[in-house]
Amino acid sequence: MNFNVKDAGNIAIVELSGRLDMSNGNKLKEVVKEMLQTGKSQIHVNLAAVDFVNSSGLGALVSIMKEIRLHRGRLTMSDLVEYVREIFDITQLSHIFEIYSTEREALNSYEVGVGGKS
Amino acid sequence: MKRTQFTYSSYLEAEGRMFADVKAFLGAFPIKDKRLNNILLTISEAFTNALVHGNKLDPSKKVEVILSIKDRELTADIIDEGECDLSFLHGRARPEPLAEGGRGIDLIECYTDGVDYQKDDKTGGLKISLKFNLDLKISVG
Repeated sequence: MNFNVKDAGNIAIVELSGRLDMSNGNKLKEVVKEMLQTGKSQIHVNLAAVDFVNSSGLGALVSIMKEIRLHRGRLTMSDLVEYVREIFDITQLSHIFEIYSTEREALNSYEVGVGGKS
Repeated sequence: MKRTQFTYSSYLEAEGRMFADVKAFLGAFPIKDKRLNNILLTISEAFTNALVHGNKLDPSKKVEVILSIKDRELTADIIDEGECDLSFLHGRARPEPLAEGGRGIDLIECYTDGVDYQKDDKTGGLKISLKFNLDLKISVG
């Protein structure tokens, strides 16, 4: 899995690609932990290039959401491919995470405050 | 019947290697992409369970993955060398919304056409047998 991190104002964007499983989930947790330590607590995760996620990967996403909330931050996600979206729906995590259709919609929601989920 | 067997030491990274091996084997059959993804996910869940809960990531312990396809049915057996604790099957509740684990069994039961948990006679560990009906254009027999 590759992690590409970029800034959009005070929002950190994490672009993931490949498989989000147990091993890569641990790496994601480390990346987010480093962000939080440097004061970045508004984090958007773009999942457009993630073609596989299992329950360990989902667990990593839940873990970073809890860490971000502890830092009074916010986590958004976008661009889930159909197959990954289905896994979120089956596990009912699509009701827990703040998921947007596109990265642009997610970033716009930061400008107007917490927006609705797609 | 087509059959293959893979064996892995219990490292975190083994899941990625197993995924690639199983995908390569199943790639030889005309399985639709979505169905293939579901099969790979389900085997991944059983394999991760074997690594973490069965073998407790002890590298000296192995996980075996045995795949066989006959007619239009795929069977995947995932066998660990742990203590075979089947208590997780009894009174299992849906995980709390913010729980970081506990969703693997739900995904397994969602995407398989049959699943069986039993103690493996040879290793004494847990054997998870997954069955999938395949919508193949040809019969493998």
